[in-house]
Amino acid sequence: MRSYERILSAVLTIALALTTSACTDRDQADGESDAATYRAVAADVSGRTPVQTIQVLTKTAAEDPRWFEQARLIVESWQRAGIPAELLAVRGAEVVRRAFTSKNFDTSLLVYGPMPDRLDPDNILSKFTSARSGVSGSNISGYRNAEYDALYHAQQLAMNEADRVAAVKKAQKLLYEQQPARPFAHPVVGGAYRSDRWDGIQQALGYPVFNIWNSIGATPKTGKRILVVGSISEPLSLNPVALETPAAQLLLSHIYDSLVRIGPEGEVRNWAAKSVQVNGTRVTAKLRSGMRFSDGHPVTATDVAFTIRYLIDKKSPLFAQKLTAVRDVRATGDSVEITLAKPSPSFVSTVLAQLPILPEHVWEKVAHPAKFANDVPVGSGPFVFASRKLGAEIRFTANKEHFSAPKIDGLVMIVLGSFDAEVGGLAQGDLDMLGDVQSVAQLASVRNKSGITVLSAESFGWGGLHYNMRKEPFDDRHFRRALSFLIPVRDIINVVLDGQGKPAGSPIASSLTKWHDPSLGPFPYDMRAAMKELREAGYVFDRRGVLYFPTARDDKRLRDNNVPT
Amino acid sequence: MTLLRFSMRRVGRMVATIVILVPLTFMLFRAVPGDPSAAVVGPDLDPSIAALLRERYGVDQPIGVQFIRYVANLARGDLGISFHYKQSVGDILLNKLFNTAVLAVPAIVLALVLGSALGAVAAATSRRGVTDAVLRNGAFVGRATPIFWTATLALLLFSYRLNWVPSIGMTTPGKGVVNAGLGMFASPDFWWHLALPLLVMTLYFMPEPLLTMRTSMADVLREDFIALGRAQGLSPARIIYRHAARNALLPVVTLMPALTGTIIGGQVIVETIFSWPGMGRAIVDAVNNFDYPMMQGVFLLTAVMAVVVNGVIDVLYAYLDPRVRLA
Repeated sequence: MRSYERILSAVLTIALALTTSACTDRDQADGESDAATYRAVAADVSGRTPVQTIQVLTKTAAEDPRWFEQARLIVESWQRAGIPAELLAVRGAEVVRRAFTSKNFDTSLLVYGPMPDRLDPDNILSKFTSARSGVSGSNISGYRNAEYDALYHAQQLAMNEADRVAAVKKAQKLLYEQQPARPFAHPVVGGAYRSDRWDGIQQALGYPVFNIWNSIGATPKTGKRILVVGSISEPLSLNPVALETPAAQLLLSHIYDSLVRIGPEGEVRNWAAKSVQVNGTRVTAKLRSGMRFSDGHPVTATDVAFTIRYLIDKKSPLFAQKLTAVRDVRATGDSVEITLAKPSPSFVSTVLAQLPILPEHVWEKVAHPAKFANDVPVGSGPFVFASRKLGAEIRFTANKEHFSAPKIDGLVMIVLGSFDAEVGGLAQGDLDMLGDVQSVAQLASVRNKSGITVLSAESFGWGGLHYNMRKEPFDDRHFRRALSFLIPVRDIINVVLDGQGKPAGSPIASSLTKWHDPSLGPFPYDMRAAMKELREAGYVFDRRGVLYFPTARDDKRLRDNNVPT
Repeated sequence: MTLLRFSMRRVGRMVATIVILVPLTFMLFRAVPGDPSAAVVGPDLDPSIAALLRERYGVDQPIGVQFIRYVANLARGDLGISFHYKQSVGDILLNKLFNTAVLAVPAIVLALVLGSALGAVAAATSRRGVTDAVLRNGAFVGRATPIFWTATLALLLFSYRLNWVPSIGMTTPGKGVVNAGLGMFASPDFWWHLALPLLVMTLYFMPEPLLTMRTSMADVLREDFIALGRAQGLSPARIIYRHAARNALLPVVTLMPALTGTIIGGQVIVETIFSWPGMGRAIVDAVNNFDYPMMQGVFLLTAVMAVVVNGVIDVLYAYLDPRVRLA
């Protein structure tokens, strides 16, 4: 976060806190009396251990007022129900250390953005598999359930889509019932552009406005033939091999072609490949003819095969892991044959759709790609890199020879100091398009401005709370469900997302219509149900309202983790 | 002591300061909890990559080894490769320093010249009241106003509302203006972009020299030699601007080093608000990304500049006031 935003965010936090205290949620107003009514109270708690204070790990208010405010709402709600809770607000880097690299937390707030990977359910579901539950794994909750693992593998190996959908839905149902994590909401995100200057802009899933389809499709209405896009996140490097964060993917997809691309509706479209066939473990792609790199060399199947081997050999942070399933890759004529260790229905949509086709004649000379700036990238994509000024702008010219040539002459990405400056620049006319995806609440000032069109869509990313199932009492399904029933989702959406979000039940958003299980619905806020869960497991409150663990005699807790570490 | 000897000693002290600064800038950022892998690992990147990244960045090595490597590279004038940009830190900083300089240097010069002049006017008119009251109170208000507020309001008014000046960056995209190097100064587009941030920065720096000049001028005007000048029948303007102002300027010169902190702080905010691609924003980005080579580079460069400015001012002061050399 930039310092200017940090100052603003401090102001915003105070404003948020004031708003929160001003609007009392109806659920919660009832909550306090409900808690007293439905609690299991024991006169004698001798021999019982009190439940320790539960920490909610979040970023500091200065760093991210929205995270902080959500955590505060949750802590207050739990406290109101008699569950001891406190905030643990730390720097973002410390959240990462605790949640991702050491698993030292009780509960942790996390936000999963709408990355292209998450258009396929594999990415989201993989984060609950026992194989990834280690100390530095991406299964933050530490959920290790044999039934779930079996469903995850079933969807990976399913030979037809109906089987895969069925497995994905069953897996969602398990997550809903067992609550290793509690998804709160899928935010409504959006972007905006100058519709008085540009035609041909279509809304797309994930990145509603700035994406490759609109860069190609944008048609000038005025004499202006260069599309100016603003962004607060500067792509740090245009080297796809060394890149660590997916943030630059969007821009790189303008320079480099991939075999297939994800279309505006989330569908897989053939791109550099004229056909892709998946046959068990064998993926065969036939390359389109006549493609050329920006330095004039033709694009061949050998380049594709080289790219895959190179990304694996050079341990590309973004791709090497995704490519671990590749056993062999071979180029013959205009076709590339990839052999996988086991069948993977998501290989095409999550790996091939993002894999840049690199020119072998350039990269074969690069021995240490991690130290290579790639300051003049050579690709075959619809846009050709022209120039770059660090921290200021990146310019592209249109590749008029491309099979899907842009209608504009060029594209400039301007790097901005803050999102406010970006919105201001669009309103004032310095920019044609916002390059960042933000909550639509942030676009209120340009929503009704003539000449500007705002496009929005439900994000397929999700935000929620992970319970650390490696620890008591989060190893107990009843306790986790009790906590989940007490998440004040309505407040979170109203106050933190300005009403711009859809309550969630499954981490797979309802906008992913093919994969989302609509029968689940949002997980409710329900004080009575929460107290019932605690009572059923044997937790009791004493007369002063202190919560105690069950004794050996009345212990009905449910441990869902049944795969040994 | 001669001026030359004084200068030599001053340079020696500057070198010693910089030698102490090198390990300090190195250690400071490594003392912050977290490491470069924490800046990229998260929901979107598998945590198992962290070890690979630490190895790639060389931060898996013992801290002593890292330091020796850093110093060895530094001795060759190599500031290292930025973790994030994958480019030489020296090249990146040179570019950013230039962008910052075209904004900060004119702002400082304007603030000093205008501030001193207005301070002199305020002191000279202090008996008559109105001009002095306006300048003095204006300076107090200016000093008390946070720059992020003035900058945001100025942007709202002059750019978004009145549409007089652009809101973003150093040049208009797509106008084909050469935006690096000195050719930029020939372009009216650049000056048009510079106007508002320059105005905000100048107004931000100005209160200090103005108030200092006013006080020191008021002191000088009470001195005997001024009374003598008056008695000799010199015109008031000649007394004020020829005789008094020269003497009153000394405290303003000493103000320069003290302004360094203000300048860096102001630069960070103005560059962020006006999306100006300079050092100020590089500092914020580097810190947020745990980009150690960038952080070390930025802070070392800033520290060296502060040390050099202080040294030059000391020498300048010794030249203006020979008593300093003898002390």
